[in-house]
Amino acid sequence: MEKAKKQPSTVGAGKKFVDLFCTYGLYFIFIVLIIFFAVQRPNFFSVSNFLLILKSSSVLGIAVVGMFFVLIVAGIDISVSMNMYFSAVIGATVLNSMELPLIVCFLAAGVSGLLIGCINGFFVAKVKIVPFIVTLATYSVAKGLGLFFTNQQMVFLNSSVMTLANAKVFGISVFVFIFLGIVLIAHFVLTSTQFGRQLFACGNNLVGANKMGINGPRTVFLAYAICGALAGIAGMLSACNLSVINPNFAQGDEFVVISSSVIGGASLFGGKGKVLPGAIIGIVMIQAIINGLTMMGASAYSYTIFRGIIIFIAVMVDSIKFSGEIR
Amino acid sequence: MKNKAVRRTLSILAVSAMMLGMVGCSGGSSGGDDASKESGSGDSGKTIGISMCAIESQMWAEYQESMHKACDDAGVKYTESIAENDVQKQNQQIEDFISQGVDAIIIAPADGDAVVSAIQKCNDAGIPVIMANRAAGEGAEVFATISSDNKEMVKREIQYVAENAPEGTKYKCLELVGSLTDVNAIARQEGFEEAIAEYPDMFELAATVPTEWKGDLALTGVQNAFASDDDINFIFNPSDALLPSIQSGLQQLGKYEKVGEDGHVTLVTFDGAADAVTAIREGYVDVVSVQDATEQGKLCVQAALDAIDGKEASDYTDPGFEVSTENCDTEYADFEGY
Repeated sequence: MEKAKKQPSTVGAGKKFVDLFCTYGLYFIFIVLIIFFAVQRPNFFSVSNFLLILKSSSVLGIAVVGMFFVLIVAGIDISVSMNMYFSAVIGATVLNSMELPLIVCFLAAGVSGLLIGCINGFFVAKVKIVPFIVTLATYSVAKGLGLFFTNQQMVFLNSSVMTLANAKVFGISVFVFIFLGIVLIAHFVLTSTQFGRQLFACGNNLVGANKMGINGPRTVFLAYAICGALAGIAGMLSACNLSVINPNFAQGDEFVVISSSVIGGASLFGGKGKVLPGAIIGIVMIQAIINGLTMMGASAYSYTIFRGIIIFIAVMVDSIKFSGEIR
Repeated sequence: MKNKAVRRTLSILAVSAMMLGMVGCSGGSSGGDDASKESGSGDSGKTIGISMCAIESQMWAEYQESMHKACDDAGVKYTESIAENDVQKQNQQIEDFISQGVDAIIIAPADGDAVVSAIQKCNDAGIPVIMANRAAGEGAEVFATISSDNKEMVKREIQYVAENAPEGTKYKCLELVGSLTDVNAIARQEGFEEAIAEYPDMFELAATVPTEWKGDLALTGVQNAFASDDDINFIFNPSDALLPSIQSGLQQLGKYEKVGEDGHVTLVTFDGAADAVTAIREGYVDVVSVQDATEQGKLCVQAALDAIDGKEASDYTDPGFEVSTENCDTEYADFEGY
């Protein structure tokens, strides 16, 4: 009898630990790493370095915000990186050949990204093709088109982009304000609008949402469209920051964007995610680790190891949560 | 029923789009069948397969153009594929060349080790292989390797900086590293580290940043390194493809000054791209080690022709040359870069 009584309490403690680990584990590891970096390199814990990390996070952070929309409706967008590349090429072409103001180039890049997002959304929401396949297809098409337009050469951007890359308000890069502005708008849309609630409903149970009268396909379509447009803007911002677009521009960034979203609390299984602060935390965590490792003078090989471990833990936590332990 | 038919049609369209994109990805500028381009004047009846890793820098663009021109001049047909640095794709493309029955294959590998199995298949098929710019890993038999003397070239650059530095100068160095699977990147890293070890009183390695040959990682790396140590006054850049990102990073930090000016960060780079040479003439970059991509491209084609004609094999290591702020307007006044 005693044994039977003790067992549930052990199981309860175990479950509690898993609970705690899933909710705070990643943050705990992050804080330990931050303390470690700060002790090793006092510069790490300075305002200027924090602002630098925020700036480094801003470009991909915008794409992360878009990815939140897609993940919330239980989708995924692999094409985000090549969308960034293709849209940046379009924006740079407008800038270099037509010499139009930078804002027009951003609009062109955003529209180009929006188009790719709409194609993704149409095939996923209306034709019901698996998101992974659809976005893999658009990944290839966008990459192919980008390489075709640039003739696989580097594209140098007009020197006017450096004005934006260098622009600061109150000593803070405008990139940070653009990122935070987009986060705030996305937060408002997701938490305070009917569309936001519909996104969560579709992500949790698409069939149920449809029965409740929500236009599921339209909602999913819009999520992909938003993700595409934000990827386009992120691509152009990145091109301005670098002042050049290499043929390997944004290659592999889809993994950083998706993993940052998951680290920030979005679920690969849909129906979950808070852009504020999730999108910021996710990408900042990855950039802060890269920043800390550089400051430490760490081996070139250590970067991928650390990033891999963090992503693995984030996805593992997401899977455990989904399996019903916490949900 | 109608809906199903529409969905099926659209699904086929999506898959077709993916195939189209993949062709585009592997495609060269010609946009022909699977990126292949054939020279019109190929009257010798021989065909050379050119397998490029990617055209991610001006150096590779020049390399590619030089090979095309050499093939055209020799009246040889060529068929080309570009792997976008995907080693599996490159292996597959080489196997496609074998089945097409090309007479020789020039390979600019994304990864010299990963391409060994494809080269072994070429060996089995009796097709000679010429390695362009990057050597093959162990276990592969190649007819000739045309490459640069990466280590020595970097060492000469450091020697130039050391010899021209005012007495008592101390350099805090930021070392950027290319892809960790690229033998050239590793050779340049080793060359740099061995070279600065020869001047322990002058050079101190402050940070090493992996870039995977990506501009955004180079830019972030530069900014992070300066946040850690604002006294960094030397950057070693292993490829001109990363130079614009480094320049952008330095400009954002307010540290992009000319040689001899206060706050100048000594910039040592590699390849010989036109923008690097221009930056040297303007006085922002100190020295670039130039690999002669034009000559290497020609030699690759020549080696392929020799192999087809049954002549003797000969490897070639491009010794390279350095263009610096000192000699750019004298010895190399006519050199514009790629």
